[in-house]
Amino acid sequence: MVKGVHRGAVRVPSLLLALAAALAFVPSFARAEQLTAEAELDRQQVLVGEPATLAITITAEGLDVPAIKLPLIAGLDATATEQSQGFSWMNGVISRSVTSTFSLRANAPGDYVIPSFLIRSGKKEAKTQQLVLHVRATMPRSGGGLGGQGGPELFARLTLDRTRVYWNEGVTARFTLYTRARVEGAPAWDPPDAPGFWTEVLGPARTGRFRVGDVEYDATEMRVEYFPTRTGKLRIGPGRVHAQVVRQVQVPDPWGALGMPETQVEDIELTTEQLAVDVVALPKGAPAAFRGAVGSYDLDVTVDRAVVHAREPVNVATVLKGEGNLAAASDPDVSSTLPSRRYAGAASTSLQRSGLRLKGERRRETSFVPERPGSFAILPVRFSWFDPEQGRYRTQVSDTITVRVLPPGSGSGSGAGPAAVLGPTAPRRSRPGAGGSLALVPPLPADAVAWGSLLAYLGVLTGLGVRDRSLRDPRRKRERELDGIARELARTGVATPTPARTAVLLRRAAEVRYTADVEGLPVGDAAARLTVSGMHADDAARWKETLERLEQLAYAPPDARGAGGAALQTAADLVRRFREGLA
Amino acid sequence: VRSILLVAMATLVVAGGAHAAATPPPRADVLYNAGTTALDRGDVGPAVAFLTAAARLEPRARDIQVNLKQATTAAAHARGVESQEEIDVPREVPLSTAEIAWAGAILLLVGAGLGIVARVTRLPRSLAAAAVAVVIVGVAIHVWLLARAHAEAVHPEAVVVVPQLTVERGPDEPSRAPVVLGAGERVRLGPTRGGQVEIRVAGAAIGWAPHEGLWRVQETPRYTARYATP
Repeated sequence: MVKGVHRGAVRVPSLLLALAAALAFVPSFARAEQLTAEAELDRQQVLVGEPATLAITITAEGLDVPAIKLPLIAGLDATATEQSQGFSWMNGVISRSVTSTFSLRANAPGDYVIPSFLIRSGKKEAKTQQLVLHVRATMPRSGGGLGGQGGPELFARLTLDRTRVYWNEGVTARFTLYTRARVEGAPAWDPPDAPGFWTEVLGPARTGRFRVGDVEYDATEMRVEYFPTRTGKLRIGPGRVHAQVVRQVQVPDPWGALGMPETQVEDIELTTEQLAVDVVALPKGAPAAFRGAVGSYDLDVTVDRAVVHAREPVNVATVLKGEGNLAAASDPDVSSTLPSRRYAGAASTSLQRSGLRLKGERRRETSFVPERPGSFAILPVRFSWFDPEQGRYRTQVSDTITVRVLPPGSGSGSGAGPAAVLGPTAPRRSRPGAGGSLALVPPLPADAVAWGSLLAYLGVLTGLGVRDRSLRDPRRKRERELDGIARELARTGVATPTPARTAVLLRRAAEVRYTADVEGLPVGDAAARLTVSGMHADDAARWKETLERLEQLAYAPPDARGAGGAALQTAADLVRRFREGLA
Repeated sequence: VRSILLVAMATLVVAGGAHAAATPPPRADVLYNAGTTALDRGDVGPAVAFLTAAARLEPRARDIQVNLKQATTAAAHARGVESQEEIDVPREVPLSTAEIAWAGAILLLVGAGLGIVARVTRLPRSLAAAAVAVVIVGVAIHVWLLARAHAEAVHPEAVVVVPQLTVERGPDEPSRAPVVLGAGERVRLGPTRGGQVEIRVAGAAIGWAPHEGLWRVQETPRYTARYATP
């Protein structure tokens, strides 16, 4: 496995730098407090046509991480194979990680540069490492093999991800059986010889179909990670694999078995070659807390309670996470400022063997039992390790944790431990407090006032708007005027309109009804114009007759006006007809 | 206009009567005293739940705020959070729901009255515009309150009351690492399935957990008898 390491001569394809410069992952709108990106190749060297796996891991604090989009890399065919997601929530901080794996395959030998990718999330940026994939043209006939046309039918091969490592740095070896023949059952690998190494097998054997050169093979691969326990030139292998190959044999009698070929199972043992690993010593100047851990680690220290009663235990857990030989890593020392009983539990290690490297977590709990009330501190826990990627020692130190010790007493109901009260609490109340709904629903009266006011406002606005529109409507205006004339003509007693006034009103009513201007015209001309404007001939004649009668009455002596009641009634009838006609 | 005002007044009278006839609402002093007792006993989860509920009723009460901060800090310490910067004490609006609702209602009443007068009597345009603005503010307040009440009804706020609550993925959900919540952590709840309830944080579902380990804030009055003041 290669992590951001240059090895050998590098041939950069012509357009690759330009592509790399223009390359960026799709930015995300999600807020990310921290952003990290890491690229890994599962092997440094492959053959033409053989796939290598590129894993890109992006970790972001926030709900979203940028999408991973692999750009074109000249000379390499890249195919996305899978994507996995991780999610964690710690103390209100959410972090997500997305790992995308791509299968890379080259059609020509050479050294291919996988450029570093710039990843953006909001204002944060992160870059992956630049990696180099060496593609070779020669057939990989290391170890024993069986011949056949177009290449060997079976061969076994051992590859290492690196040949020069630091002491206790992991080397991943891949023991692979390639076969074109039919194999009965699963091939069995003998534990490969590796004196001077701590051995960890990475999961069960994996199978796949690969193209090596122009030939397709079924491959069964076993991965083993070796951690050197001494320096110098050490050897890994040979690895031995046992397989049962089904072969077709020639039938001596062409008439036997109806001429069908017979099969025969043959036990095969193949061996890989032996490879050397140059193990160098760690550099001098190791910190005092260094106890031999080599790899990539992260230390987490937690205390199960900050306030405790005397003679009750406080458990301090140290958790080491990361890549490396965790089983052989030593736990950091945990100590306190107070003379107290101290019990160190056994360390538990959980390893993940499914990835490209051995990862895991090592946990150990140390219990302190304070005897007297007061307070004491868990002193900073220091853990040092050697980081082979950076070639230097690194140290992580936890904070001092203060634990308050109360007088001996009873435990809590919820089991969460006594409250870590840092200051005085407010006393209980004796006066009654406010009441209300906890459902965050507004009180009904307030809602009624609010929405009632809004409805009233909208209702008034709507009503006034309708009224204004009605006032501006010419037809309604004419109707209202005719209604007014009718009301005036209907008055009785002293308010009864005079014949002269009635004549004016009748002339105006006809004008309003037929929208014709007849003011000042002689009665005959006025009736003719009204007829042209739509008045029925009978009505026009009646209107003319009534108007003439009213004008006569207007100028008649007062004692002769008594017979004018019929004309007034006719005028009122005509106005009513006009109003009905308009409706 | 007269009819609308009469209907509004009748609605107000009926609503007020119905409200007064309902069961007595929870009281802030009872919740506060229960929370303080829980805090003294070291039950930080129930303490945070009671005091959060009390703060909903009396958000400006100093004693409630002091003890809620103490309970939140104690809960964070119990989870192993030591740094004061990492302890998140949620800040709420310093007005109760009723106060905000009445403020919005009064704004709407004043705005609507002013708007009607401005419309009928032809007041200056500036006054009419001010009335519209006041009405809009009042409507916005009430719409916000309705949205908040809806969010509380759909995804009610809850507090973890057990020392550790493991939130795991649902049966049909993609594989992911479980999340462990500590006592006193405030989350939102989603749908219930059997004995499990969906846990939501920051608007996103993070998995499912047994509902016995959580108290809904609006249901905390049910538990005050357990922490009656001696």
